Amino acid sequence: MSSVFRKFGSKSPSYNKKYKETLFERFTIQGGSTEKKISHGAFFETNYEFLLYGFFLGLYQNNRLELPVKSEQTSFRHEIENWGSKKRTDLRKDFKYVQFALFEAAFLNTEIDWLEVESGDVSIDSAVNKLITTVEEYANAGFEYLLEKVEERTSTTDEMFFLRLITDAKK
Amino acid sequence: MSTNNELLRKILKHPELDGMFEIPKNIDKLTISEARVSDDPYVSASGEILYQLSQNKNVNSNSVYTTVQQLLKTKL
Amino acid sequence: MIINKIALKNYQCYYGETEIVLGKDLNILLGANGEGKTKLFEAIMWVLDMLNKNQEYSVASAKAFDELEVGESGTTSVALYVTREAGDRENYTVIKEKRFVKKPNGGIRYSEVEYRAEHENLAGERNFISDGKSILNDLFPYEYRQYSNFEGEEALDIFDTSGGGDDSLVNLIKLFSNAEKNEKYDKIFKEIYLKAKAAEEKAAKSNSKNEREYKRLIGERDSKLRTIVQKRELLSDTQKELAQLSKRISECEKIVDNNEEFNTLNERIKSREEKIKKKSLNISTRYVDFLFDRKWILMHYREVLDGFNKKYDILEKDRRDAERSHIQKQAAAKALVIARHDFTALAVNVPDRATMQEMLDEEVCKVCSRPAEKGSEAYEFMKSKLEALIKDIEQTDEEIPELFKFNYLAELRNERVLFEERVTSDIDSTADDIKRQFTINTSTAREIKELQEEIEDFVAKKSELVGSKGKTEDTYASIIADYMEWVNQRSAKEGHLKMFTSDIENLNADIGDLESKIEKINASSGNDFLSLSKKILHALSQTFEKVKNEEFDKILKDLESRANKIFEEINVESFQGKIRVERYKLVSGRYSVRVEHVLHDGNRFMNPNQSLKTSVNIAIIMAVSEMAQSKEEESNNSYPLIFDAPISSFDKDKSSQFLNMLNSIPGQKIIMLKDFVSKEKGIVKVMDEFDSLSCDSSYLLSLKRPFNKEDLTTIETQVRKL
Repeated sequence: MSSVFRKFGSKSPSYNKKYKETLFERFTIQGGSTEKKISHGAFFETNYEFLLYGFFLGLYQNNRLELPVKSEQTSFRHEIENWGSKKRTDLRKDFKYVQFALFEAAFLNTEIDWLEVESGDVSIDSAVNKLITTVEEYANAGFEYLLEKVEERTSTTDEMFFLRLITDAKK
Repeated sequence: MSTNNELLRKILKHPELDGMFEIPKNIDKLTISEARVSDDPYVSASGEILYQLSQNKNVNSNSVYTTVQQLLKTKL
Repeated sequence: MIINKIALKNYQCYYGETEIVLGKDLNILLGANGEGKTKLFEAIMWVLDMLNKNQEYSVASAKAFDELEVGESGTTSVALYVTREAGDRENYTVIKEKRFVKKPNGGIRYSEVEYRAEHENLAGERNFISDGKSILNDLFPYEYRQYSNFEGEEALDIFDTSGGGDDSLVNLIKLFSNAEKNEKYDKIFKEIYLKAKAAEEKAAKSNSKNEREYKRLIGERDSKLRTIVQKRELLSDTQKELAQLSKRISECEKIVDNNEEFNTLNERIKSREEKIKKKSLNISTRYVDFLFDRKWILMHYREVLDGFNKKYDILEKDRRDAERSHIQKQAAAKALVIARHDFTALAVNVPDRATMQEMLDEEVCKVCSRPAEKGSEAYEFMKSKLEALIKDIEQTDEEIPELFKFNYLAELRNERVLFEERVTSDIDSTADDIKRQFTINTSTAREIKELQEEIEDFVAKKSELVGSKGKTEDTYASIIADYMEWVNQRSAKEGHLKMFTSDIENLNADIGDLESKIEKINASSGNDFLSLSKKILHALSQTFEKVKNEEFDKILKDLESRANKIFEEINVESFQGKIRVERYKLVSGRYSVRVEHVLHDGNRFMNPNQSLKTSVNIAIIMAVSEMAQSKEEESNNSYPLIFDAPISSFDKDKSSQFLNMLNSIPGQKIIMLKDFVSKEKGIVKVMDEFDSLSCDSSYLLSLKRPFNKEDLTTIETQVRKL
């Protein structure tokens, strides 16, 4: 594995604290009873899935939003390198491809002088941190948009809602 | 609807009695009173029975029988 | 008899007093379905004492009853104002009346039925008769009443005389023939014969040489005759029981068939439920999971992928460029050093390092072309210069560092190729994949919905089956058990029938033998007179019986041909078969009459349509009416014909043929029709075509509007003369 990607994978992105209750806890199952949660409209199995969702929402809309100060941030401490791996007994399939997709998207949209990094003038750590910041900022924008749309919903059990937002993001 | 005279004729002309006696020549105009006095036992018996029946609404078979037998005694 | 007027008071939907004046020929009462037509027919049947027990109840008008206070009473009555003939001054009124009272609990209590009559003689004097029923019978004999009405097509077949139950048709036929009288005569003829026979036997008994033998024969014969009578009774009873059983069985069979139907429905429901289960597995709406599992989240990723590849390629190129120029720099720097060294050590004529080395090797100075042997001053001078040069070069030769310390980008090369391979086709097919999933979902959902609707239908049918019999699913089992019992009983009884019949046959055969033995003795006993007279009386008795039957059959044939004529007229231009009326012997020995609908070859007309069935019934009724007319020609008497919606199954042509024919037969006809009436948006109208029909009187029966069909007290029929 490339060292950049490995370093990237060792990180766990943060997000705006205010979305913890308003979004994360509402829409992720996080170990409660699946049926119960789904009947309440929690369709995402894990936090990182939800963050990925926010990220892609922001990415496709071409919106990024700076995170607030560190004190307003929080993280669920789940390293990217573990994202998408599923127990073989689940209904779910592995989706580890999403890690590199995240990486490529971040790479594309982050201003880094890679030649300087290659030459050692800029540390790889700082480059990777910049990449993570990109991830966080797209997700942040995505969450802000999502929160708005959530309020407009007429149904809390419509799973298509989330699909539709992504589909419409690039209109 | 047959009157008793008509009934008499129907009986005597009936194929059931074919060959048992000689049918009177005036059969089509034959009346009960005429039949009663006929020499032929079939004719007279028929006539007598019908006569008895037409006379009395609540006729009794005993009395008819007796009368007919007496009549037949004279004809046979 | 002619009905001149009908007066109803508080009879069901006829609230208050209603009068209908009728003419002596054709009277038509129009009414749409449910507006009071059939109730009027019922009212007439009520006063003519023709309703069955069930219909005798609940005659009171709901509205009239509703208006009562507790303890108050009201009256329901139907009166017929009749004359024996049209135009008679002498008239009769037959009134059937029932009073009703409101009980404290709000319920209704009826009094006994009262049948009264009133009579107005030619002088105009009225008198009241308390026995209305007998007046009615006198005016309109029961046998004729039976066959003067047609109660709509749902009515039972009035000609069903099977099972030996209903002799009404026989009785009616007897009215037209002298059958009553002839029966009486027949009885006498038979009795006379039997007396003659008995006399002969009595005489022969005492004359007989074999007195004992003769007595025995007679005794045996008589006892067998008595046995036959018993067997005939048993046979007749068994016949009746069989008829009852058959009825129960066929009712049961409807339920048993339903049971099969019931089971079938259950099976169908079950299979559909299983199908639904299976199909439900096909529906998947885990769209959030699919975002990741099926890579739908990459639906717009193509731009990113292409962008990344572009950027990456550019970076790699930049890197290569940077490195190339760096190498060039390095090379240039190196060259510069070399050049510098070579350049500073030498003036114009000063040789370069290679040449100097050469000079040393060759021990000759190529500058001044003088030899420089090893150890000479010139040689040492050259050598020191060369050494100084080399030292100089070595000292000033620096290492130019590599530009790039790391190969991060290059490391990514494989990874990004693998990634692209892995996702590229998925990115492009996401839209289709999503569409496909939706299609599967919606069509499977639709299939499931259809299956659920089918299940609902079946469930409804199930409850219809169960509910229509007033039974729950549980009582089915007990009904089935009864059914099996009855089927067994029926076979047993059919066996009995066979047995009794053959017993009777055998007995008759035995009796035949005995009779001939007795005859022999009679003949030899010398009582010629008694023998002869017996023979004559026997012949006469047999003959008369035949004559009696032939007279009866003549009437049947008359009825048959009249009925067929009418039947043909009603069904002109269509294939209708024929009506057959015949006498047949019951097991009890009595005769009964049956009406059959047959094909021209004599076989039964199977499955006639409703309008044919109706026209058979109507043809018979009208033929009876005709015969009644011609019978009573002396008194010019006739009886009214009353029809309730007889032509509802007739098409337009047949209807008009029927109505035309009605007009042509004599006598009073009262007919309720729902044709010629239209009901649109709650307004009842008489159609224009009705004007072309000629009749004595016509009325329109319609419900007073507005009304609430759930509330009987708002249901009130109004009668309007047209």
